[in-house]
Amino acid sequence: MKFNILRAPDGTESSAGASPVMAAPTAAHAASPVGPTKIQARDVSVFYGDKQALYEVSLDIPDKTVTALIGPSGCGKSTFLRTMNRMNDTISHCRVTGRIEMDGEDINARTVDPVLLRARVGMVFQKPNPFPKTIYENVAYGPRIHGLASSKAELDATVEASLKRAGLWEEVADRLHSPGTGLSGGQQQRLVIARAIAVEPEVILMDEPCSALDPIATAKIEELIDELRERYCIVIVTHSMAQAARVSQRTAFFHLGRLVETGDTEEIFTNPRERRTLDYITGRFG
Amino acid sequence: MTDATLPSPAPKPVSAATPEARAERLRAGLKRRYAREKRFKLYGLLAIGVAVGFLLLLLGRIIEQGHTAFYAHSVTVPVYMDPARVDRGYPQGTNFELLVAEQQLARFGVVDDAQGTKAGAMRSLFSSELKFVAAERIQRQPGLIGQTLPIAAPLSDDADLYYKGQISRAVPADQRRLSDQQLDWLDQMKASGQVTSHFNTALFTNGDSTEPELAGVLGAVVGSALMLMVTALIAIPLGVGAAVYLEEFAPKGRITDLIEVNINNLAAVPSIIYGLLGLTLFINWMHLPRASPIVGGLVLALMALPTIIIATRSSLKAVPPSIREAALAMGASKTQTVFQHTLPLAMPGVMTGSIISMAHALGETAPLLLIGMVSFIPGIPHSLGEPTGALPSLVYIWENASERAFHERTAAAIMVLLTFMIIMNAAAITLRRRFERRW
Amino acid sequence: MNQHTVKAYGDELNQLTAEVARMGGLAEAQVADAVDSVARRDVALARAVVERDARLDAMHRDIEKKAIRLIALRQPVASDLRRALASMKLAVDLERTGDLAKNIAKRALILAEGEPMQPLTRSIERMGKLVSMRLRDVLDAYAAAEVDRAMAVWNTDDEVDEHYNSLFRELLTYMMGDPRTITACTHLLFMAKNLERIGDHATNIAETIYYEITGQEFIGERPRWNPDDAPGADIGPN
Repeated sequence: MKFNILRAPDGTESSAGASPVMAAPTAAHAASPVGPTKIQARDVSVFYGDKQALYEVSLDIPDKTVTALIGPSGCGKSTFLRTMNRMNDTISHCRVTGRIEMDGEDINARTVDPVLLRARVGMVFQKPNPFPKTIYENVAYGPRIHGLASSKAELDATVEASLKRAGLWEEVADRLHSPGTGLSGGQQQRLVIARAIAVEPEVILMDEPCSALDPIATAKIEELIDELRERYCIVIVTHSMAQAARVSQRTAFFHLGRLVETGDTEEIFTNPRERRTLDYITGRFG
Repeated sequence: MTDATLPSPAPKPVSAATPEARAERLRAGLKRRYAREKRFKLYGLLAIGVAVGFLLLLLGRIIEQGHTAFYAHSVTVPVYMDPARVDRGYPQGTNFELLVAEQQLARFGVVDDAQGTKAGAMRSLFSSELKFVAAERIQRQPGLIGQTLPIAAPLSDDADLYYKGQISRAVPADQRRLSDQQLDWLDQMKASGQVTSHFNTALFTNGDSTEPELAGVLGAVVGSALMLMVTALIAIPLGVGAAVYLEEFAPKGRITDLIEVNINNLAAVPSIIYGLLGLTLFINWMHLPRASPIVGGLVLALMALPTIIIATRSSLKAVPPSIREAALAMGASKTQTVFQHTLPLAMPGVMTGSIISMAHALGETAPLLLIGMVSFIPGIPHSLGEPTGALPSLVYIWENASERAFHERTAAAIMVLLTFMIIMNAAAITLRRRFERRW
Repeated sequence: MNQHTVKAYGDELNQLTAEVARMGGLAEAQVADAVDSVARRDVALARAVVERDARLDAMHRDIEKKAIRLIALRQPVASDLRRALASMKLAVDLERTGDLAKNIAKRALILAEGEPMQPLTRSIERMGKLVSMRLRDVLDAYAAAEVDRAMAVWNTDDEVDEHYNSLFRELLTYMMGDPRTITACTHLLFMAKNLERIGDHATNIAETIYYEITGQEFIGERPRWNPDDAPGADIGPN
């Protein structure tokens, strides 16, 4: 039997801009073992001053799933990630058009307070950035400022649960009041994840969380992501395709500010539909 | 298409030379480079040497001039409390100075003339403090009248100078402040063991005085301290607040840029202009008391403000954006991010900037002169509203004073001022080192 | 060896191995049943063997898909990579084994219509039992990941050849003796050939196991039945 691992792509290349992706979301979801749609982006464009960074991106992010955004440098994947918790608001001259909905609600509406949105959508950055406070204070910060814990005992319990869920509790239980910056890089990143999940978000956004870490720390974080996806919707930007393949169930490929292809990770990495996707993942780019 | 004549042969690239030729070139070049480095290091050392040399020269001169001010001579004379002359009910009214001078003359076996010039000459060897000490003793214990008491008091400034070797017999008599006879008497007193030399506590415990032997820096120190307190209370909160607003909250635009340029310019304005501003605004228009710590503090606050704003802004800029992003991503509002994260992390730089600008304000003289701190003000100030002196203006006043003894005291006052500045700068550096974070 | 940090990866590898082991069990059963159906002239059993072959084909495709998915998504290296590749190779060998067993069962159906040929079918049965045992041993070696057991199987490749050759001569003698038995004997000959090929597949599997565990190419001459050992050598199979 002839077993072709990678079919030659269809003759027709899709023209720039139109993504043959989310025209019928329900059909795609029926085929994939992922949860219901959590975040829905439609025709999202982002402008920095006069320069356009994203061109009408439409994408569905399913819940309780890891969605990976891949693409070469400067393709807009981090920009798109940051639209989902409105971190682009903090950049002056940044304009976002289009519609982004979470659980059916437009997150860019005037009635939506970005501060509250960010309590529901947490973020983990590329370089671990724990606050220069104690480990306890780092994890307790979120619940404190949002008033989520009504007593010290509740706060203690929240901190412990978050650290446990981030897989860090055993290593730091005896030094909760030592500075967070004294941990190793991998531990700091897990601390940052614990900090993010302490406020019980619904979505966790990760911007290249492992690029500053060594392989062992990376493997631990990937195992953590695997565990976390049972509770949270996770979107991860990564420039390592191998990581996207290992960690995600859905993958979206961006190129020059446009969404080129979306699909189940297995399909993207065994038999992508678009020529550009194929070229990128096989290293024929450039 | 075809070249008529070939141009001169194109230069060959480095790779075309033989390895030996290349190695030779590298070696030759290396020698030149090392020589240049050595020369550069030498220039650097020379520059530092010159700077340090001048510093040592300056400090050396000051210390040389001023160290003598730290000790003073006192004399203990036995004083017969003549009941005929000492008024029991009002001891302060007694002319102790004349009494002591006459008794001292008698002790030396000198006969005075009808005008009492010799008594006058003897009198000028003692400080006017003597009479206060004696009067106070009698006041406390009136029963001592009729006895001979040893009274200890400082000597006059000229006598003190003689003992310190600054008035010498080598100079012709009409060019010195003490006559030969006075010098003889001083020698006699010294020989009889009445004269002691001790640490000049008066320099640190008294306020300003027209008598050099009684003059001290305490009044000026307290005045400077009060002024600095006012300056700190006004300039630091205002400066930090303005910087935080400009850096974190103000929308980036033409107006903010304009404000920034103006603040930078203010930092370079000559300090005397601030003095003029203080005179016009605070004294003439707002009718605040002249030469008071409140006015001085306000003027210095205005001077220190631009520096604090600039230092705070650059400390805030130095806080890495990753901390701000982390806080914002957690759902902290802009204000919470600034006050719970950015500002605490910028605090070492802010403190350093504040302390250094306070140190500068401590040493500013020109504005103080314009707001009236040039005049002679005895005593120790107690409130913010009364006229006071300040250390820099004290230096100015003493330098212009006529008495010779003020020379060494001026240098001593400079040393006191320098000490304070060194302490403040050292505190700033220590604080910065201790709290500096390595990102 | 330690667990994989990412547990799902370790689980996927183990699942792949388990799937291959299951396919091996099924292939083993097919061979045993096919030989049985010849010996006992059991038509129902033979038909069952023929039908079950589709399952083996499905398992082969499934294992290939799983292995490709593992390689694409997990980027295995070193021993993990060899494990994935080995499982694909084993699946091929086992699928071929299943096809050969199906072939034997098909011929058994045809033989069952004719006269019983006891001594010959008994020989087939004996050869079948040897082949079955070797297959079982090598699959046990795979499950236990023991190179020595695999090599033990590899070394007995010549026994299968011996059986084959003696059966060959037996059948020739029979055919020359009684031309009416030629059809039946031909079928039996093909069955013997199939069993010999199954034996080769078991040896292949042993070599793959060696490669998977040691990481080294297997270099060695398979033990062959020496043609100089017996008369009538020119009609030997190899």
